[in-house]
Amino acid sequence: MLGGLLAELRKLRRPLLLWLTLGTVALVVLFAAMSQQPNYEYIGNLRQGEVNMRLHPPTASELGVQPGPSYDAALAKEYRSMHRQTEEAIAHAVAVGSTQHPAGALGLAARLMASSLGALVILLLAGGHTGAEWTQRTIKDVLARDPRRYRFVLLKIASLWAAGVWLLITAWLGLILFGLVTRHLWPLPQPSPEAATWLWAARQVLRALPVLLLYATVGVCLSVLVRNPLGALLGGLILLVACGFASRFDLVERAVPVVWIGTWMRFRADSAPQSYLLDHPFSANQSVLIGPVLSLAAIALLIGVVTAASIAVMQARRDILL
Amino acid sequence: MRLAASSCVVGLIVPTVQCSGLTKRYGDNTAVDDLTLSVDGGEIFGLLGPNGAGKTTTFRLLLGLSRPDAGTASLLSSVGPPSKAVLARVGAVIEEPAFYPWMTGRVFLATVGETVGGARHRIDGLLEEVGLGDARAKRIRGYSQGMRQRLALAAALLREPDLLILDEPMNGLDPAGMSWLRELLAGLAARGTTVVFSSHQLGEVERLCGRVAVLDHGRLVELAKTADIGATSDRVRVTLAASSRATAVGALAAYNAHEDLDGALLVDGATVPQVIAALAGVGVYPESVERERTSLEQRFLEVTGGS
Repeated sequence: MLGGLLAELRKLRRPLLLWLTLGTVALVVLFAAMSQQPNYEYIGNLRQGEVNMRLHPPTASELGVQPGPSYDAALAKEYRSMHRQTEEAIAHAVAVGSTQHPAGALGLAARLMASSLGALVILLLAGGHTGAEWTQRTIKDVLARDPRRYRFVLLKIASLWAAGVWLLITAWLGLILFGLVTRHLWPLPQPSPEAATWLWAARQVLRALPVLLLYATVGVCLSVLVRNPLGALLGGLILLVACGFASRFDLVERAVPVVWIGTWMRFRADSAPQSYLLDHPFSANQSVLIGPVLSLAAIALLIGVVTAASIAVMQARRDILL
Repeated sequence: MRLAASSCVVGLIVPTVQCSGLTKRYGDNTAVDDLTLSVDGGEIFGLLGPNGAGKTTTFRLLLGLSRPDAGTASLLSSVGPPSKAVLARVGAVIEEPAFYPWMTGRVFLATVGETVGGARHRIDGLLEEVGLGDARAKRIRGYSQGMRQRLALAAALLREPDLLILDEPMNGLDPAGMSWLRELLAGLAARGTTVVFSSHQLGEVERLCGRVAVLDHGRLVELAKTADIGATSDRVRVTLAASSRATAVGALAAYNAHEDLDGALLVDGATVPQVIAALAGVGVYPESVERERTSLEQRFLEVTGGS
């Protein structure tokens, strides 16, 4: 089995993976930039606003009060409100600021790979890695060397999952490098202690691993069904959109895989702008009726069912090329 | 020295490849129709037929890539869809060779080696053997058709197979390449490897194969030793000076003699002694008189109706 896995990993060392790696890194970096820069600017504006307010306090008429003790009280209230706003913004920006450092970057990379971004990338890769075995007609040679069709399916899933982990790691490295720049360009408040951030990041990675396996399993299943890379990608997109749509209906919400993923990953719809990508469509309607453990069980069951279906389709086919 | 591929049990040779009533249909089209044949160990066997005759389908049925609608196929004494253990002893090139174009030749063989297990130490030697030593680090997308054929052969030979199944392996090879392949296959057969291959290069098949089968519309229309096909002619070919030709035709009138395009006389229905006696009777002494051998091509066209 190990030799077969090595062979599949060799097949994955292809231009498609290189481009997807670069594309994924570019997207996560862009995503980080889109959350770090506005936060930095917002906090800066608030702080500047506080300074300006002390330098040029609003007049009594601007505050709508009479000069005297009531003006002093209104001004103090205004100062407190402005300061609270700044503190809230800083507290919110801590999560974003953590992504400028390796621990937070790892957590963000894991969450992004478990989101719709990771699903799309793995579906694309599944089409090229598995569906193209038919369009390039290499499947006949693969199965003429080793006829075990179940093994073909399992090896494809395992290698795609490994590719998903590779993408997670490269996205993380990309974020680390980007953080080196943005830490100076857009300095944001950092969480403390750092160990807690690492622990949080490790949890994100562990949660992302079964989700990546699910994406790989679905990608292989679609490829085995349609035997065409573009068809597999298109099928995956339809599935993704359908899941996002179905998750908006209370009646079926609990039965939709993206809700299980959203719940298992603890994607929060209210943590924008950092999780903007994560929220669409994965946590738009995070279920409260199905807990994380049940979600993981559902994900595991789905992985098993989809794998079994892929193997059954391969075994039932009378002609491997037709 | 390896033993012959087929199992030799107290002098009994078990066929390496055997088809019995093998039938495959695609809708209304019968691609392979009740095919029964067997190939012995160490034999070089040619599978011939016009395009669409069912050669590739037969190979696919043998390798388990397609399932038959009726009948059975067996490889290396194993009946039914071949197992991993059986295919470990088989090297195959089916249809147009297909590769991962972004790989180099060497990486491709390493990938095949990892799939089938071991054999990595043979990669460089094999690349040299098939004439791709200088192209080992070149990406396959830059290979010519002939180079691809050679690489596919190298992949098929990686495990030192007992049985080689090659679907039109001469496609894309230049004359030197064909000569090289002929020698390679003859050498493998001499070491006990059974070779079953299809080809439209009938001259090469005639030179290489001990036996041939001809398929037409999925049916077996000829199964014979190559030597026997050549001996079936009852035509005598007479080479003689142009000045004697008219006299000779007159002397051989009883036997339906006519000139061919090369100027030789072709005499139907006569033996060599009868021709010599008739010509001697009119004082004509030919340069040569020999029984004409029917070429495989002629026989092929006869049994397939020239299709």
